[in-house]
Amino acid sequence: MSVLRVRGLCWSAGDRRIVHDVDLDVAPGSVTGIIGPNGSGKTTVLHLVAGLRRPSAGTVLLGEDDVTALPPRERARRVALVEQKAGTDLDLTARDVVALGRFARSSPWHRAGTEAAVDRALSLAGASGLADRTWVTLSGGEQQRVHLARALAQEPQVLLLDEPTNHLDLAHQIGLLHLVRSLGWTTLVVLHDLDLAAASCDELVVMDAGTVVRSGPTEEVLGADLLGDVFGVRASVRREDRLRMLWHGLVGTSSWEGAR
Amino acid sequence: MGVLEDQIVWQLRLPRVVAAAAVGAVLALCGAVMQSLLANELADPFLLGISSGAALGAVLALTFGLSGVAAGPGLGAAAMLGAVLALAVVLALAAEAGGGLPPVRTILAGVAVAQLGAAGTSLVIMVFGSRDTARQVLAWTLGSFAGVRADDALVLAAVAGLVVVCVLTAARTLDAFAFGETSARSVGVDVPRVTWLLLVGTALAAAVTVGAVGPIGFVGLVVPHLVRLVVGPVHRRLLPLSTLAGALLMVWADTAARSVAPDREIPVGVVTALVGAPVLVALLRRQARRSS
Repeated sequence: MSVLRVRGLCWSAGDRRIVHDVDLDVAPGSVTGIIGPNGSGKTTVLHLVAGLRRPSAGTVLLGEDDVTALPPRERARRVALVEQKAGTDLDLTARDVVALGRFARSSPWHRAGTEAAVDRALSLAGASGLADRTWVTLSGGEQQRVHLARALAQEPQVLLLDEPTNHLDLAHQIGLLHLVRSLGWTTLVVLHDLDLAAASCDELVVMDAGTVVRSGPTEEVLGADLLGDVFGVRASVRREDRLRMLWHGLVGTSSWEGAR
Repeated sequence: MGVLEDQIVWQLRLPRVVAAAAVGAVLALCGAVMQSLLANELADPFLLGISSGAALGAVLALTFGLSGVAAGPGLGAAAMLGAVLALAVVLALAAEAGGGLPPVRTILAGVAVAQLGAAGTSLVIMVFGSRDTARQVLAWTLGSFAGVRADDALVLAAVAGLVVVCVLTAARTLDAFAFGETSARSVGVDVPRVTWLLLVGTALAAAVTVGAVGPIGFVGLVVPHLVRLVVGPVHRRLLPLSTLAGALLMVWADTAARSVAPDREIPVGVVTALVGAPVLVALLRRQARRSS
């Protein structure tokens, strides 16, 4: 019943094994987080799932189909990726950027519906007000929102986010993840902040040295022993819908704006 | 209008104007495509070693033989052959095992082959060439529409038509490269295939223009930048306007080349450089101001 099933996924760069024997499942409508120390292979897994790299072994199944066997346009209608940091020097407006997400859903001769879809995506991402701003005038947080809107415009079955909160201050980190949760789309997100992962994910996959060391519901995964084992720290994280708490605290006290 | 004027207009001027418009449009479009695909603002249609390969081909034809070749279509054919061979070497050097053409490798391969071609050209001139050859080669590398005949103009117009249709169809694909290759792939672009088709296609079109009228610089580099200033970087608007602007600019440049000096033509490449270089400097300064 998973939308996304990954089995025995391996990827090597030359002789170096970067990712090996990764299994993971993402249930429809859930937010699944991949966490782990730097260099544990999180981003590589996300790129493999996005079909941007060809696995050296293993499968990425989307429903019944192997992602790596899908033609590029079909693949882009099924999975959408928000990269960690992707910028441009060109004077594109936010609307132009979001329209890139419609590439696989229109053709040079059939642009009908593109504008409406772009508007819808901008609105879902809380970025309608940014539509006519040019890329360089947007702040880091606004740029991430526009990237998210671009990914939403692809109308994918699975949304892939690679550390979407990097380079953002705490308020914008919380705002973005709150937004992702409230969308209710099937999402696989790489995060490095445990607190944020605990607060925003239904399920967690913990990676270390290129493979999955633990996975399951967030409460079960985040035990003190795991933190000690994988991250080499003693700490505990409790989940009491922390994100909502943080979110309401924030909205009550600061001038953070942008999302609903 | 007398018979003579009639003949001048229809047999000399018209082919020349058509050829200039076609070459200008092709070079401007090729420049826009190269700049977008390789994510490099200094990319131009001759980036992949084409002009120096063509120069080498031309100089070999002028030096070794084919004395009858000197100004006729044989010279153009030799130049085009040189251009295509240089392109093949660049692609062989740049292509990855998996078949991709990574931008930086492609640019470096182009620079290497261009240097090699220039060295070969100099060597041939120094060792084997007469003073006359050196002069002819120099004149050829600056470009001219003076020898264009009606059938040349027709071929160039057909190439231009083909390039316009193919490149305009790829407008949205080129847009998708704004955030780099990974991003283009993630929105559904078949990056290796598109890169090969568009780079090789535009390079071949540029090679045809080089064979016909020599390598005319600056139009392919500067026109897309100018048009971007006016209509922005979205290719749906950038490409049609670059086509028009390139065609117009080249017709003007050729008119100037023909009529500035009273009884001799100046090479059209000199005109485009005289206009293009200051424009490029102005663009760079503007950009420096913006990013500071």
